Amino acid sequence: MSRINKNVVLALLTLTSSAFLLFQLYYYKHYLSTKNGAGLSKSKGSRIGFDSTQWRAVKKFIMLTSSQNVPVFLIDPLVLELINKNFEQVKNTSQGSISQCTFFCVPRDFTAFALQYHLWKNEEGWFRIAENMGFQCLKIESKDPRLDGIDSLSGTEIPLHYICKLATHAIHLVVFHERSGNYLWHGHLRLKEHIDRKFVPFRKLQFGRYPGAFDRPELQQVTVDGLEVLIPKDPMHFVEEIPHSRFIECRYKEARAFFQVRDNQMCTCKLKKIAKELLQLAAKTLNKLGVPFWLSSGTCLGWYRQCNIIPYSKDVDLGIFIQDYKSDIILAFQDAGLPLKHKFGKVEDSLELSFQGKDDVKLDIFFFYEETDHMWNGGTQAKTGKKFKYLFPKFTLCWTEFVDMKVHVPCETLEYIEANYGKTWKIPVKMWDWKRSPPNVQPNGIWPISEWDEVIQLY
Amino acid sequence: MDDWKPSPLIKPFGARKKRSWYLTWKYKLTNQRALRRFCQTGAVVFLLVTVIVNIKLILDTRRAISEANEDPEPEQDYDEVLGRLEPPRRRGSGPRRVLDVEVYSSRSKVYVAVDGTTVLEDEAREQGRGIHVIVLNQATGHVMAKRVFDTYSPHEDEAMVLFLNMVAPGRVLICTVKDEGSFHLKDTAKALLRSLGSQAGPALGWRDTWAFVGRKGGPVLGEKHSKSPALSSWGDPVLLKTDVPLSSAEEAECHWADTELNRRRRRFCSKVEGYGSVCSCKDPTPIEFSPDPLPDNKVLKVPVAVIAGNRPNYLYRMLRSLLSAQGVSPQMITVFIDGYYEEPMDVVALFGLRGIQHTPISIKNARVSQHYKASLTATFNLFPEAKFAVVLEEDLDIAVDFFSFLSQSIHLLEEDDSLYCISAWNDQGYEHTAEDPALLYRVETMPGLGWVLRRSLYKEELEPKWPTPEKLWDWDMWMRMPEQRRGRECIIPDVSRSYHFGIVGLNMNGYFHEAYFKKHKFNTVPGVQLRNVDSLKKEAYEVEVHRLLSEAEVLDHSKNPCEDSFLPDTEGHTYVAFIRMEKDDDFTTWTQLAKCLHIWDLDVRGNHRGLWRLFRKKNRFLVSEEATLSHPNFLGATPKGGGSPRSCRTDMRPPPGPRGAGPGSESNLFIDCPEGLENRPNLEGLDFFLGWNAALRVGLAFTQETAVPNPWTGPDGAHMLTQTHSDTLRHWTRPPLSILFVQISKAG
Repeated sequence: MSRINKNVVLALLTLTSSAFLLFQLYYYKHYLSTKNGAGLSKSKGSRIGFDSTQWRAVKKFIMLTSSQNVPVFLIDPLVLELINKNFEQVKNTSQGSISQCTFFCVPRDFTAFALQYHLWKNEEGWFRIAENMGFQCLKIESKDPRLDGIDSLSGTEIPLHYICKLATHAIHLVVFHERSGNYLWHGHLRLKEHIDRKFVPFRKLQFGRYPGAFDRPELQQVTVDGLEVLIPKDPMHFVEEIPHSRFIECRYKEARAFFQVRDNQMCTCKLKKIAKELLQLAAKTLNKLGVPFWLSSGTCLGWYRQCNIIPYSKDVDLGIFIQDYKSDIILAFQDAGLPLKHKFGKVEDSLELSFQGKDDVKLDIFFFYEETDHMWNGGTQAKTGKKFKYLFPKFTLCWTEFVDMKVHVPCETLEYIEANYGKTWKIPVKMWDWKRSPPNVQPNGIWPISEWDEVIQLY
Repeated sequence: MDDWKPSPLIKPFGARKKRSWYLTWKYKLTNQRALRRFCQTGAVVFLLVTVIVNIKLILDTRRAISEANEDPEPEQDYDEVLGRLEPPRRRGSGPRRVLDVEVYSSRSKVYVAVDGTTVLEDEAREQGRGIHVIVLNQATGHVMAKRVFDTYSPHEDEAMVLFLNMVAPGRVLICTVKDEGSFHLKDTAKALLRSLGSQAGPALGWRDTWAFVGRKGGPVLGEKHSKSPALSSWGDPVLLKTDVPLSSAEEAECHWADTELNRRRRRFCSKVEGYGSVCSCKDPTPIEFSPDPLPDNKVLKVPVAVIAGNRPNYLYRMLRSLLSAQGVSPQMITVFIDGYYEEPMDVVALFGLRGIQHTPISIKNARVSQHYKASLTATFNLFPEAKFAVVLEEDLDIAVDFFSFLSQSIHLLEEDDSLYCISAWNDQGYEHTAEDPALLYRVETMPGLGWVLRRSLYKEELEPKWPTPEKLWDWDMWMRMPEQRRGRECIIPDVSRSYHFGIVGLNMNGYFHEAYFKKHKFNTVPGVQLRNVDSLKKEAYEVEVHRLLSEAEVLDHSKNPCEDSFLPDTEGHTYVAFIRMEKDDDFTTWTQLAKCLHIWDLDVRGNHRGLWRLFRKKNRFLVSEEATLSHPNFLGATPKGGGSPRSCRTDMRPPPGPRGAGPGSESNLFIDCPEGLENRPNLEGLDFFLGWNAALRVGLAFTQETAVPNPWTGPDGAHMLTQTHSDTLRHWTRPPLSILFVQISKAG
């Protein structure tokens, strides 16, 4: 009896559990197929993978943009890398028929496109049509940073990001705005209170965690998986820019407050203009050499404190990592009309270059050496051969806009400036002793006399 | 049993195993015992599998979730930090169906309150006289328009009729009188008030007080009136309290087709009133114009900055004409509004343009010039690639070929460094002095009113030294100062491509407009092909001018230049008249002549090296300084002896004396030619009009003559400045009519 009972119970259990199991297997299969559906359906049929959600979403999106004249180009790093690797294929398939979906069908959550806002004409109807086509769209707007630098202007908000979802794949349309300094800027993707946090996995977005700045890319038309798209002419250059594209805005509000406290001393304009031109020339020269640099010392302080060149400063200061040093820097500057004024130290230790600009304004280039927990640059007193060391906490580089240029500054600007100028950096000091005033200076011995000829060169 | 332990990869496994189970089962079917055992085992295996699959599912889901919020910090990067404190919507028990409205009318104060919120309050002295009209949306109770019609003065009642007729039926109208509103309230207006159902309105008498609330084309909702007992006193103050029932939103709106454009229109029309047919339900005027594109448009990518204040009706008219101009590209247009006014912003949104608001800085002229600075800086920031910007104002009509004119001439600004700007406005281009739409001039004075600014000029020269907020300077006067202009010139057309229609404004009133702007010529011909554009370049222009002068016929200088017969009744001739200029900047004679010619005479405009080019009776008419006579032809034409054309030259300079001694010195002007009757404001009138920019004019005199770098820092200068200004303001509010007719005394 008990045996039979046991059997009955077991049979019942088996029945229910098999029902469950079937249901779960079905569910599990469904789950897997959405996750990497493309991978599973590979290698059968002649047009492989063209039914993947990714491809369909991209195709629909491209149809939409071409019919509505939305000026977009592809910036998705994953796809661009693939395109770059198989560039021949992209070129060849433009005539022949395509048999395999190799680029747009790779499993991923998003495909990123850039929208060239300044070329865009009919902003209005677009959204509605996208929704009619089956996209679910999200628009992220914010105020226009280009107006921030100007006293008390407030404009219509500008679009920064669009995210359009079709089934499980989403198109991330990053709006690129033109900025002074011939670069493209995109904004920070901030979700407003009422926006559904689960709309898409926002964390996986490639763009938008920070504002970003990019060189304006030249574009080319290619056919990728049977779809006509614009991509940057040098896709790898663009992809390489992405991780270092973080952009920080000058603190215009604080700068205005600074000027309100200290009355805006009118015009040492001429000096300011010379310094500005010197900086622009230096930036041009270094960019041509491909040497990354950042605003350092006084110039950096000027940017951070007043979003401008400090009117009474008589030099422009730049920082360069010593590993980026190239011996033709000096020559390049000389060709640009900036003769070398002095050279202190050597590549292995405390290198510092100084070039003579117009009207006694000089360009100082400090080379930075990296240690495990800090960075430093060196200084040398010409008369005594004494060496100094200026210590900085470790920093990374961010883009910013300064005197109509896109330039680097340390992302951790405040730490950088406080190391150099102390907590009282907000108070202008006109008499600055570079050997004694900085809180981060420490003596670093003395150059052996035998080396003086090499490490102290005055012109 | 151990053999059956399923691996986690149960899916592909299970599919294959099922078949062998089936075989075993079939095989063992004969054996009851074995079957039972097998069933047991099978059940246990199934249970195990279920458990494992379940666990796997749970784990997967977990991972997916934890992936989604792996580190919560970066997630915050995407969160809006601000705006969390969004106030909860205050909405009691459903939408309100009744508004309670209070209207007060008295001699010195009026106010209107809707649901306890004051929407109008005016108790300023000597201002706001007449009938105040407020229009409310019948569905929401929002104020849609607010106007005051000074029906004590003539013609204001016509404006009121015009306005009230534009208001859509069904709207709630509120009227209240301050001080006096009946003196020039004519029959048409009274009839209109009667048609609105008002009892007292049509019978409104001298200094009566009156408050009225009614629905347009519907019932009167309340009215109070108090008669003035005597000529010298006012009616008693009246306070009208009434309930206004709200109607449903559907009733308040028109049923336009659901398009993007109509959505903009609906948003606009539910907020504001007084824009006429744009909100008409049956046949609304279009708000998109799509004018013909220009072939080879060189200004397609040039940003257009529209500088605006709080004159939304002007802005509406201006944008209509701008968007109708051939070759316009709407996405290049930005409207800069000085102040956080809603209605101009609504107008901008109606046309789907970009609008930017600017917190006002400083006062009067300085406020305007700060607004200009911010707007220009913003324009070049928003369009970093633009080399030029078109600068427009909200009170301009734009000619249909405005962009075509610029497209044909803009290359000059690129190629010729001696140019300061291209302007669509000819200061001297009146109906009777301009003829040829294809003709361009070079002038030393910057006209403004629709002009093109070069980025490099702004960024490198003007922006760094733009007048600071404490300086009450006019930006345009500042730009005309020699320190800024540095001898450069502007290109202008003979027939203006813009028309200045504004009659209210900081530097503007009705009299001034009538005298100086109303009769300005404005091109209405599309697609005019400009002639010889390259002859406008520096050297080429000198050649051209020389050619013109050498072929010109010298006019009979014994005739009165103020009289019509000074120029013969011919067509197509070129005539020249000479004036004396003691120095390069001695324009006294010119000013007198300009007065006669009924053209701009408030300061010197439109000259090029002592030469003015105009049209008179379809003839080219040149006015030239004597000193420019270097050509032998002229010497022959103008003998030196008595009885020569110049024995009575148009010498209208005052006797020598200190200049800049104050406006009073102007009264010494004389003319030594047969008298000409003047019917233009001058003398005191001139002084009066000089108030228009008085501040800077004084400033100019200072900088030019004493060469003090900054005349404003001294206490004396500042004092003088304010004095002049307040005087001016007094003049403006009550212009004495007597000064409009002044006769020039005959001297000599």
